[in-house]
Amino acid sequence: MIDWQAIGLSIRLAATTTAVLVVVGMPIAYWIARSRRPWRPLVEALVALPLVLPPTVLGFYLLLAMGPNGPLGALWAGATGGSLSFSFEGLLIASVLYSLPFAVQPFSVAFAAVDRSLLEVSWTLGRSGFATFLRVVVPLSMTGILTGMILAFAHTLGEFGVVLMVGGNIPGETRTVSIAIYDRVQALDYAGAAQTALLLLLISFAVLALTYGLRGLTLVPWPARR
Amino acid sequence: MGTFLTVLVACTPPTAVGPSPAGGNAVPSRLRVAAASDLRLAMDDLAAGWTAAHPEIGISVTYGSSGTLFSQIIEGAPYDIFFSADAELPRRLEDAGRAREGATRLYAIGRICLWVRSESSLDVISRGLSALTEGSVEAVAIANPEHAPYGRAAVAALQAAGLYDLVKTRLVLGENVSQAAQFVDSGGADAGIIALSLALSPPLSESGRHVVVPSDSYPPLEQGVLILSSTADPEIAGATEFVDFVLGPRGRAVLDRYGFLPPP
Amino acid sequence: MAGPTLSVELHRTYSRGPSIAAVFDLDLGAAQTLILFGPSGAGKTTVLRCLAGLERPDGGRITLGPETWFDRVRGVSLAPQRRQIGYLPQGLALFPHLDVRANVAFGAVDLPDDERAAHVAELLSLLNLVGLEHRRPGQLSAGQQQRVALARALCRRPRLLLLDEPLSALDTPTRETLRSELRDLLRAGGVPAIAVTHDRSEALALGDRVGVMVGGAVRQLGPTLEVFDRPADESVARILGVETVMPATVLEAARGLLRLRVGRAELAAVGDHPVGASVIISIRAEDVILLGASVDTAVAASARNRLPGRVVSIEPAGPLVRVRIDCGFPLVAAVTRPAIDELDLGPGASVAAMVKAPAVHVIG
Repeated sequence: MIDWQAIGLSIRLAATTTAVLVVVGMPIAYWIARSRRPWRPLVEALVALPLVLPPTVLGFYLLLAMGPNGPLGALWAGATGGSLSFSFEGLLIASVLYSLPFAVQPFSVAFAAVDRSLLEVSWTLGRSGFATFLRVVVPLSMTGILTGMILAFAHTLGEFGVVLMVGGNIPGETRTVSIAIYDRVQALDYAGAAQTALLLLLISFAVLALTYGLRGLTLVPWPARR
Repeated sequence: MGTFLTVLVACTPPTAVGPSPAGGNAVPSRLRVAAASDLRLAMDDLAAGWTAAHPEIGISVTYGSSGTLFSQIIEGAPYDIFFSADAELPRRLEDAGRAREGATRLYAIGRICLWVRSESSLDVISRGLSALTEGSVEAVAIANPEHAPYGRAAVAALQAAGLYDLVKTRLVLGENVSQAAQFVDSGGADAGIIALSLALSPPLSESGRHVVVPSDSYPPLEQGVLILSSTADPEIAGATEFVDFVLGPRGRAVLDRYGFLPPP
Repeated sequence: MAGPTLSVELHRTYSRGPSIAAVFDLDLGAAQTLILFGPSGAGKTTVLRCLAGLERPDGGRITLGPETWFDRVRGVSLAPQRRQIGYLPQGLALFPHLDVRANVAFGAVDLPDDERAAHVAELLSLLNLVGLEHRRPGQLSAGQQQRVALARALCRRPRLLLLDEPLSALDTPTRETLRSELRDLLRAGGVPAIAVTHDRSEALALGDRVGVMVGGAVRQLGPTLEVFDRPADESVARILGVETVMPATVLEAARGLLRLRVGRAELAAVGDHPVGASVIISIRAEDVILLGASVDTAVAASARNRLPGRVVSIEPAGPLVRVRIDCGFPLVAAVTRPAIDELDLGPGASVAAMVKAPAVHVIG
């Protein structure tokens, strides 16, 4: 028996996380790509932390922050009266942080690959930094942007450790597919676990195949002058 | 330090299986139940029985070890009712202000048993816990005594039988008692001291055999239920009715089927 | 006609490498091209980028008329967006994701739609790009790309064009064709320009005025031929090269061979220029052979140019000696010391110079 509610929740979480990461991640990635400040490596290390941290460490700090006594939790409770931990919104924050490097790194590699002289010409033609970003950098980085989005989506879909820590596994709110599979095993429903696991495997594979397919459609790069 | 441990424990995985709210679409209200893992099969039956009579209120259940669920509630998990495997954790929640003082009610006395798979050669029926001294027993699964009352009961029973020192290096700890059962069922452990309520029904009742551990060898598992209240929503629709249902004759009948003894 | 003056005084220090201290003024009234000329690493590109606002000098002041573009003391540094300039970097940097029309129109955002369309159409026509509107930069020839880059820069009616090594990335045949095209385009565009190059022919072809940069400083600035003819000092002379540079007129042109009037003499050269054209010729001092006075210049030899004349001066230059000759125009030859002794050359001595026609380099 496939847990469709969990699948729907997982997809919703992954999609929302990706959308947030596009808005939040692009400015960070652009700064990393172009900054020459001496503290840039610190920022890069911070962004890359979720790659090496065990989910328990990130989950630990997040749960502390989002609990009723933590700074984020208290803020949330004051604003909405509800609890941030063990809610979809809490999961969203956790997923955004945990998938941050999967979006920001491909973004910034793509941004850095855009020839600086293109930006400079745009500026001398009167376009502001922001307009230059939208009209020159983004169109020329589309492949990297799409890669980052797809990786963030796929990574969030497969998340287990942080969801476990922060989500509490409430059906319909925080029980994602990965948790649901784990749960089926504990309930000794191996058939149910297998079906749901297979579905997640197929979805993940399809997403990755799409990524590699999109890479083939690279934009014509600026050719060297003949 | 206390916070650290609380949070770590809160992070161990509870799992949820719950009947979806009856009717599928927008239900006016939903009860969120946190239940100790020994209730995995019993609570499904109880919830189904309740929902049949009250389709307008859906019930979703999250299972986990009592200690884990306790920590989560402390950290803000939005459950409405907490069915613990002991009586102490609900009372601590009262002290922490998560419910009215004295609101905890006992709903059952739990029991533990020793369970092995059908193909095991261990003669647990006649030998009881002493079957664990066999050389072929390499791993014995119990729930983690740090945060599961059933795990603590298993340790106490082993100590009473004078077997704890012998067996303790071979113990495999499940996050909760149903995971301990899963370890044995899948072959990861050779035997397990698990909740009787899990052993009495399929699939475990058909895939293995059990022997009840004598109740006088461990402190009684007095299981308490607590309706959680917050200042925002002191009257949770249906909560009192559901708890009354569990404590009433129909709930009693279900719990009996799963080997629970009535509370004193 | 006097126009606003671009007044530049900037210093820039690098932790490793030379420091740059450039001071010069430029009248932008006439649509003239100033060449910043010097070897690689002389700081020319840095000066250009500071003028564009893409790099910030460490100190100094840059003003255009009443506008202050940069003033270290007062903490002013005007953004490139606000300087109203056209900038052509070394690779042209055409936007690869936009077609020609979109490239050209890129800077004209603040115009209403119909005005913008008309302006763009005018530029496309002026720069001979009609019919190419929908091509992408990758589908254009090098010459077309150059015209698109210029059109794009001109779209905002800049007060100053800045070009960084405009032709250096091209192979030699293309470079020579495009050099004259670029010169005509700059003149047609009617906008004063500053171009940076290390190529002598480019400086001669494109520059109305040239500023020679040596070791990060502008050592000499003036009309092109004047600078080449009379370098201010030793280092400038070395940069410009020990060459003869002279204006010339084409008298005859047939089958790829030219007959030129240079000063009071006539020279045979190789080239493709129309009769009557004004050109510049340069002859490397190493390509000049000197014959002693006793030699009959009518001897059979392949060199087409035999020029009798007199020695004006002799200067040692390392292992070689630089001999200035007047043979109807000033000609510089570089020969070895023993040769001087053998030919018994001294100031006032009669001498004949022999130059092969292909060694007379014609820049049109």
